Amino acid sequence: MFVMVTGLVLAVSVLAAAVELPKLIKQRQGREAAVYGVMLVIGMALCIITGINIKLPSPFQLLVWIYKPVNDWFAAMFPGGG
Amino acid sequence: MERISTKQMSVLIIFFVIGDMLLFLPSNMAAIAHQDAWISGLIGLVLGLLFAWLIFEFSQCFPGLNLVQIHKQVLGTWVGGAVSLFYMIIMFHDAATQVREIGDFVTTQMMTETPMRIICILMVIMLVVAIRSGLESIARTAEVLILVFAIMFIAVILLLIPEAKLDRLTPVLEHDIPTLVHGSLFFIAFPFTELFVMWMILPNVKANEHLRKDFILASVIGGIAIFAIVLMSLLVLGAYLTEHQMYSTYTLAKKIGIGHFLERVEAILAISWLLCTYFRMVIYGYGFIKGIAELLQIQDYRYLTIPFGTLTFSYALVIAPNVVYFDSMNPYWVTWDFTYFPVIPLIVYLIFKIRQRAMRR
Repeated sequence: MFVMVTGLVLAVSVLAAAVELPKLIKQRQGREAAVYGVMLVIGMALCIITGINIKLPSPFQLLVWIYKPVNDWFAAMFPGGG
Repeated sequence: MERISTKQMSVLIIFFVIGDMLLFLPSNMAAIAHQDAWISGLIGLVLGLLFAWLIFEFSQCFPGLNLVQIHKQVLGTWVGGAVSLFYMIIMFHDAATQVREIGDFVTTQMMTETPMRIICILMVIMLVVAIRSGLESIARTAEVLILVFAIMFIAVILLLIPEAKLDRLTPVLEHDIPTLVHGSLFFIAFPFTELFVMWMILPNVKANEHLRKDFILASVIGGIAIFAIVLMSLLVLGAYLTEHQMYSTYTLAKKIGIGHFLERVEAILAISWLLCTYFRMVIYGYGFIKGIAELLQIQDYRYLTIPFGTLTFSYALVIAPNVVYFDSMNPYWVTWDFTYFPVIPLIVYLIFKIRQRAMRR
């Protein structure tokens, strides 16, 4: 099931790229084509990783790492705040 | 250049403010302020509207410029670009979050046998289609669907009134002021602080003398709607059930039963929640894609929609291992939001004023 959904997403992405990228390159919009390609490749790579069930660390861990000191500081500043 | 009217902008703001908070806010707030969560809600409503007003006034200092252009003008290409990129991260993250929330909700409450990916992919397809059709189509769709949303939402609130019991709010003011303010942070951060996305949309609104009034009025309507949900949740379920339910509003709607002919109306609530979460997602997605296009000087943001869809879909699955972990991130998320609204724009505004003064001399 997972493989099917992943395959579907990949197929649609590749198909869309096959239609749109040549158009962009023909119009000499190299920058657009580059951004398009980079975003699509990152997206597809992530899609494959989740599709074969590899557990990536959640991006929230970075958030916690940055903001935990701030939150702790606020908690110390305003005791009794629940 | 796409143009929307102030009325369409107000509709988008109402959808944005209510957004996914329709389902999450009561339990988040009741977890801190318990039966006094409605007082927290009132504090949050006042402070949140103040924030909404400040967000509007900030954008009025730079008429006709969107977020990326403001930072470029004030901070220069590189620093401004970096700050804008920081904003793009939260917009993308939030768009993917909405997708994930819909996936989590539908697979835990309504279609328990369906894999979450299916729901996510459906939402992402709708997101891509909406952004590809442009802001005008998004705004017109919202204008039509707000009626459906309003009727369903008001119906749910009215049908709940027979179940409400005032004594569930007692003892009133059991908690001290810091606790109440702490509870209100959720009410300020998620609906109102995140209105900074409107900086991407405001330059596309047709100039009109009641732009300010409409912006504030829309925020007030959205704020009152989510306040009503918090209050009803406490009145009908009581503090204990509200704080221990993941989706307390959904449980709330299950309580509706008039005679034996009007029952199981929770689907109505689920649909209205899906509607406003969908528009929140679309606004975030639009803000992100427009910002990235502006940042990298791409002529037409529509080219980027398909890669954006692939990226959002896979990021929504990576974002958190499960729904409990997801919910435990809320305190950090609140602080994260506050960096985006009062902190960074304040610095930007000060630099803008200092530079303006230096220019005059």
